[in-house]
Amino acid sequence: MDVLFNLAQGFLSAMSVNNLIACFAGVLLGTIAGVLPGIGPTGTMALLLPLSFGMDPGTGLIMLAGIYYGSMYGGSTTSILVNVPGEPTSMMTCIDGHKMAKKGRAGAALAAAAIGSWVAGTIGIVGLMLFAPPLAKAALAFGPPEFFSLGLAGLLLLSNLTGGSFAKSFLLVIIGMMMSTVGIDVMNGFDRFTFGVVDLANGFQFIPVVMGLFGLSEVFSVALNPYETAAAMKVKFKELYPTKTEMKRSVWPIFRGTILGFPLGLLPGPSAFLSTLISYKIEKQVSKYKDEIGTGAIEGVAGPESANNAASTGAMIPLLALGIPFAPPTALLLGGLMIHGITPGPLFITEHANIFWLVIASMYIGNVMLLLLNLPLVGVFASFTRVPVKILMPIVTVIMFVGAYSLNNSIFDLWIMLIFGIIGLFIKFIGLELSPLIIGLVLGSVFEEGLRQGLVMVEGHFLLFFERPISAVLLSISIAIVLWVIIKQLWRRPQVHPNTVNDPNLDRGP
Amino acid sequence: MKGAKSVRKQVLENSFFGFLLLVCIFYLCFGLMMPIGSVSQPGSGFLPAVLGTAGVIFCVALIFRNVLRKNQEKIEDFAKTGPMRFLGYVIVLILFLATYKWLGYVGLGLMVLCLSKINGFRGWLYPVLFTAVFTAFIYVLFAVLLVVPLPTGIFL
Repeated sequence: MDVLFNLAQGFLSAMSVNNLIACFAGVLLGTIAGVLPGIGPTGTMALLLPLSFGMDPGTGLIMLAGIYYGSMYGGSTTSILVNVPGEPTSMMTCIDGHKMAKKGRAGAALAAAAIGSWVAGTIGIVGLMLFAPPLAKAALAFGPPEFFSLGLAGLLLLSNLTGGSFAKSFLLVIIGMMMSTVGIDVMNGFDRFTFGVVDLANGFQFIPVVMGLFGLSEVFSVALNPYETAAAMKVKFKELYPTKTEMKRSVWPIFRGTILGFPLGLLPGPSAFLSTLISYKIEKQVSKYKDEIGTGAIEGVAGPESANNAASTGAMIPLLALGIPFAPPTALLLGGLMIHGITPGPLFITEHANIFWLVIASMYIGNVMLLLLNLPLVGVFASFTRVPVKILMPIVTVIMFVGAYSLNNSIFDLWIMLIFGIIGLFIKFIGLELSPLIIGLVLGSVFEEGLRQGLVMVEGHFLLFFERPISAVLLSISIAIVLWVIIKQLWRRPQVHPNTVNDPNLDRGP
Repeated sequence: MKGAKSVRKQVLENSFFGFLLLVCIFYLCFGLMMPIGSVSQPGSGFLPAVLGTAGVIFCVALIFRNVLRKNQEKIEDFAKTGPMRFLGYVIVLILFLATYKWLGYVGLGLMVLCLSKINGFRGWLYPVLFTAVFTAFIYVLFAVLLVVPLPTGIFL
């Protein structure tokens, strides 16, 4: 009953004109940015974060959350109509979505993506509403050893899930953690790695780093390789309705995508992207029409689109309940909350219950807005892909610089953004993921505080960390991950890549 | 890709890990100068020492593995004029940051103009018009509506 009462209160606040406008602006801007190739949810949120400055914390958060799930929605439009994924999570949608469009079923594909996203988003919010408060309550029992163990397990899982090499991802996690140690040590006031630079006393500011890594690096990569403004296929309003058969065929993929995506969202790393890959694979294996998948089947659109939306909602649970973001977009939401003077964590849901339930209610409203926006206005959104690079890139660059400056009125932050933009470009260029670096930066301080305070608590007897049940489980997971990586390395057959010349004396598996 | 440039991935990776190795060595050296403390009373240098050591080990291992594998894979991911355009961006942004405090909105406008020219905006009338309109929009949005105090420079 408490849940329903709180939700009703949330709806009452969410229905105020200001909050409705913020929600609408968030989902609209998010959708537009999701449509534009390359920028992605993290870049979009970084870009538009300053717009929330003048707002109340709740209203600002509503807009940021709207941008987050709006950009998830928007990516599917370009995937289907232009065959260019607006953001990585829409990559799988390109395969069947664009083929459906070529067959004259673009409207049905767009509708399946929009309905699937709406269903998954709504079910995801129910999950968030039901699971976040109990998790936050449980997290009240967390002490430093638990936070250390959670940080460790999270970082190891992240390194293992990013898809590429564990060693490379873990190295980036280490670099991110190194960055988190810069600044005054909060435990004893010791100045670390600031070299007398006053601006570094508070450490690397998270937002300029993220804006550089995700936003500016994308501008640079477009400079290196400008994309052609794409000609999007036109869709008539009457073509938007899927046929009865298409609707029927979408039901199970949407359900499977949602069930799969939501728990995956709880994992650290690019879980939304992973969920689309797994959902597509599952559809290819279990769908009644599995032979058609890859040739323009609606299952290949409905499943992955539902999965990524469910995952992006699930990813908000660790953020709101534990105060720990496991993915870059939620890390930006954390940044946005902190700018408004709110620190998410176990106490957030009790101390700021009004904001928590306001955001939950606004997410329901935002999802309906998205559905209503995306279906009739799909042609308008697709036309954003025609904005030429010569106009778009200067606009994006200026908004980013002005936005980063306005955080602390500091030109130093802009230098940080520029440096990390170049670093981010390089990391992407050699095919590495950016998320380990950013999650290392965010979780580094949680990890360090947990470790140092925990060691003081147990007087240096680290094994006592295993006597606390939650900590023991999380540490066991960490050990299992490390063992899994070692065993995988030892037992891996030597792979011969077509472009790889292996020394015959090396890489001999047992 | 027609007219595209390519580089060997291994060369890029090794340069990157080499750079990170230098960063880690530098970090470790300075980390070791801090009070490390003991296991029961870890000091400020405790985690930096652990992270620096781990970073050095991982960098060396990755470079070593890369050298042994002789990966011939190439990255063909940028247009012929791409590197020059990227360099142009970096130079414009450095100049902008160095002068932003004094030039304010004028600096912002000059940056927009330069970036639009780098991105292939032909002629001068439209780029200048675009710059003026967009800079005015930024002024209205940030200075008037959001009341964010951006540097106005010596001209305003």
